[in-house]
Amino acid sequence: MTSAPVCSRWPAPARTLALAALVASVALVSAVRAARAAEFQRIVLPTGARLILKPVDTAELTAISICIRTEPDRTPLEDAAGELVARALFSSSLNRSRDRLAASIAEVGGSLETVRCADHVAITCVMLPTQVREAIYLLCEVLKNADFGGLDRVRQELIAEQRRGASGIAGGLDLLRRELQARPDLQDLPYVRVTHAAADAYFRSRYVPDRTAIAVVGQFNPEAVRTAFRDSLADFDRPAARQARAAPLYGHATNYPTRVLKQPGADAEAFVGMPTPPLGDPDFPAFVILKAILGEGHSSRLVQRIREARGIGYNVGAAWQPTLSDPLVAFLQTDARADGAPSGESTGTGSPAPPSRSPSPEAALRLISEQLDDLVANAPSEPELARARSVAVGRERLRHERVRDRAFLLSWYEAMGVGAEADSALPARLAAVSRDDVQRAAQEYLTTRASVLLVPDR
Amino acid sequence: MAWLLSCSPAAHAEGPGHAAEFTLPNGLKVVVRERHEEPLVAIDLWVRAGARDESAAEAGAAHFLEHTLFKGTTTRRAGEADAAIENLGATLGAATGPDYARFYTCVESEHAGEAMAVLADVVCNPTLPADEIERERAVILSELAVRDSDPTALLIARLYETLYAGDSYARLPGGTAASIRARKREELLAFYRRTFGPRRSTLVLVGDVTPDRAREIAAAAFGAWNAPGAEPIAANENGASSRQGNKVVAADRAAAVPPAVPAPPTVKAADVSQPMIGVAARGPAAPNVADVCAAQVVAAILGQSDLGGRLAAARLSQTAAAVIYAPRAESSLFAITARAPGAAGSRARPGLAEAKALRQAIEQVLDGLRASPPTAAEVAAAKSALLGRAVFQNETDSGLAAAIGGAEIAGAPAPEAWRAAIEQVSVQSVRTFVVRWLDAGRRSALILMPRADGPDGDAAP
Repeated sequence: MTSAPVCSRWPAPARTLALAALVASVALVSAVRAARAAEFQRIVLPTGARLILKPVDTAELTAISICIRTEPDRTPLEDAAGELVARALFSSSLNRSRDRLAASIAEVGGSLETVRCADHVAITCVMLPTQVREAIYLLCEVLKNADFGGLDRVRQELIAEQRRGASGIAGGLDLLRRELQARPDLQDLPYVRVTHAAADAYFRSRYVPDRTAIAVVGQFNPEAVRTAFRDSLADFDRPAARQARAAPLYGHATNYPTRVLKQPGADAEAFVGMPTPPLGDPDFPAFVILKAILGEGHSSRLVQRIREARGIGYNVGAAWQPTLSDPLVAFLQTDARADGAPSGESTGTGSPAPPSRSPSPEAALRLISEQLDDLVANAPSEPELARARSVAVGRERLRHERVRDRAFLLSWYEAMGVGAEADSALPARLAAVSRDDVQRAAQEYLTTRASVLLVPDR
Repeated sequence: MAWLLSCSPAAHAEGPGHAAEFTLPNGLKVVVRERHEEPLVAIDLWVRAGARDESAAEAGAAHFLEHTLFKGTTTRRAGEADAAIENLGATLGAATGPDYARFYTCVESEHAGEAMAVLADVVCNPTLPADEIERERAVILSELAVRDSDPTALLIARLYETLYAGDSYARLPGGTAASIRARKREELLAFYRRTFGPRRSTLVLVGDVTPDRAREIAAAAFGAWNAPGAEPIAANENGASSRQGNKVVAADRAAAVPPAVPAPPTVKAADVSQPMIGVAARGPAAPNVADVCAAQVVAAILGQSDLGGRLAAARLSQTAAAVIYAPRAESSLFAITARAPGAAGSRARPGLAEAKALRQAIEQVLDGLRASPPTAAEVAAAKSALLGRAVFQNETDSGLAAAIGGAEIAGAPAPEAWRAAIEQVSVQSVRTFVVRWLDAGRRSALILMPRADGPDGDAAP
C-alpha cells in the first residue's frame, strides 16, 4: 500500500501478487560467475537432513532457509492439518523464548516467515550475523519439538479467513491452483475437525529429516554453524512416511469450466492457468523460456500483441513461480468502467472525453487463448527465442541478489531432489533451449487450461 | 509495507562501497555508489517532472508522458527500446510520482553503457507519435482501473484530498480517467519541454561501476542532452515550489507545522467490499529531517509492519491496521488505515457501527501517544528496527539506487546522513513530534463504506 501513489508503465508487485515475477529486471550470467555461485559446502547430518553452507563475507545479513518436501494433500482434513501446522509452527505456548527470538529478529529489521505450497514448506529467517546462533536454536527447536500451543488461535484466524473468502487476484489464482492441482475444497471448514493430536501426527509424519534441506547464506562462521546444526539436530530423527514415489502435482482433468468471481471496483481480470513440468523434468528449462516468450517483458507476445498493438489492458503477461508450486498463469486485466468519464469528474480542460475501449472479460479470455494456440501450433522465431533466453537467464541473476533468496533457492533445489547444484546450473540449461524444445513444451503443457474471470460486482 | 519503506525517500541506510557525485557540463547530476559483490549495475534516472509539476489543466500529463516516452524516439520505433534492453537481459521500468518521473533498469555491468544509451534515447529523444498516444491512452485507463479498485489507495487518495485541499498534492499523481481521456499530444509535448532536462534530473548508478566508468558512460549517453525549455526552477500555478536546480531548498513551508484541520469525520460510499477507515494528519515534508525521522520512529512504535507495537497491543493488527508515512518534497501524510472486520464467527459484512468503533479505537491509539508518551525502550526498539530494515532494503543495487534517487528528488538526506539522523532521534524529539503533528485537532478521519451499505453523500458518523 502506498501513501505516495505512484503510477508506473508496468504493474507494481503489490498489485499483482504472484504475478510479481514479471517485474524483475534482469541481466546475463557468465559461466565463470555461475561457477563461483556454485561454491558451497554440503553436509549430510547424521539423521539425514542436508545442510548447505555458503558464506558471503561481504554480506551484511545472514539467511537461513529450511525447506521440507511434502506430498500434495488430497483430502480436506489433511490439507487443513497441513495449513494449521505450517501456520502454528512458531506459536508455542510452552516455550516463550521462541516468540521472544522471533520478535527480536523482527526488531532489528529481520524476518521469519513460513510458506506452505502444494509440495513443500519453506521456513526462511533473515537476520543480523550476531543473531545466527540464537536463530539456529529456535529453528531446530521448532523442527524437533513444535508443540502447537497456539493451534486454537491459528484455527480461528484460518476460519475467519475462510469465511471472508478469497477475493480479487489472490482469490482467482487460488481457484486456478486448486482446480488444476485437484486440491481439496475447504469450504466446509475442516479446520474445526483437526485435533491437536492430528496436527501433531501430521507434523511428525511430514516434517522428517530425510526430506529436509537447510541452507545458510551470508556472513557466518561455517564451522560454528555446522557444529550448531549437528548438535541441535542430533535428536531430529523421525522416520519418513512410506511413499513409493512422488505424487504428481496436477490432476488428470483436461477440461475445466470457466469460473467467474465478482469483486468491487473498476477493473476486470482474465486468467488462464495451465499445468507445468516438475523441477526435475527435462522440459523444465524449455518451459521457463516458453513462459518468457509468452508473457515476460515488454517484448513478449502477450504484451506486444495485445497491450502494445491493440491498446488493451495494463496488467498483461504470464507468470509462473515454480518455487511456489504454482501453475503457469496468463493474464489480461482490463478497464471495466462504462465508457465516458464518471459523473462529476473533471477532465481538467472541460473538453469532451473520448470513450475508452475495452474488451469484455470473455473476449479477453479469447485473446489470451489465441496466443496460447499460436504457440502450440508454431515454434517461436529465433529472435524471440534469443530475447527470451536473455530475459530468463538475466532474471536468474536478479533472483540471487538477496541472501534470503539465495538461501531459499539452495534449500529448495536440494529438498526437491535435484541437488543444490541445479541452482547455478540453470542459466546454462536455459541458454541451451532450442525452438523445438519450446514448441514441444507448448504442445505438452499449454493445451490443458483452466480459466477464471474476475468481474466488477456492479 | 515493505514496499512503502523502499519508496520512502528518507527510508534508507548507508550502502557499502565508495560514494561519488559529479555534474556533467549540461547540468545533469550523477550519483555513484560503487560496490562489486555482484556484476550488476542499477541505473536510475530521476526527473523532476511529477504530478506536482502539472497545472490543474494538465492533470495526468506527467503520468501519460512517462508511458508515451517509450513509444518511439528519433532513432527507434515503438517497442525497439524495450527489445534492445531485453536482449541485454534486463527490462526497462518507469514510474511517476507526485515529485518525479523515474526511469530505471538493472543490467550486467559489462552492458551498462549500452543500457544507459537506450534509456537516454527514450528520455532525451522521444517523438510522441499520435497513433501510439491513442493506443497508450487505453492502457493507462486500464491501469487507473486497477488503482481505483484498491481500497487502501482509494482511502489514501481521499485523505490527501481532505488534508491538502487546494494544493496540487491533493491530485492523484496518475491522473483520473477523465483527465487521461482529455490529454492531447501538444499538452504532453509542452509538459515534456518544460520539465524534462538535465538540470532537473539526477542519474544514480549503484553497483559494479567505478566513478570514472560512470562518468564515461553517463557523458556518452546524456552529454548531448540539451533542453533549454526545462528550467531548474519549477513554476506551477500555485507558485509553491521551492525547488532550485538539483537541490531542494528546505523552504519554510516544508519545515512548518501546518494549521489545524477542523474537518469533521466523514463517511463516503466507495467501491470497497468492506468498510475502510483512515485517520490521518499532515506530516513533515522530506527536507524537515528531524521531524521526518521522529515521524518514522513513531510509525515504527505504532507498528509499521508485523512488529507488533501499539496497534497490536490495542488488538488493531487483526483489522489489518497499518501506519502509512512517506514524506514527499513538500508534504506528507501520517495515517493509520484499517479494514473493519466482521463480528467473530459471522459471515455478515461489518456495518457503519463497526467502522465507527474502529475509528474510535484508532483515535485512542493516537491519543495514547500523548497520554502515555513513548518510552526510551520503545524509541530504541523502533530505531533499531528502522536501521535494520534499511539494511535489507538496500541489499540490492536497485534498492539502494531507488533510495538514493528518492532522497535526492525529495530533498531528503542521503542514506548515510539519514542513518545518522535516525540515531539522533531522542525520546524528547519523539514526544515533541507527537504533540506538534498528531494532535487531535490536526487529524482528519474518513470511513469508506461499500456502496450497497453506505450513504450517497457525506455524513458525520
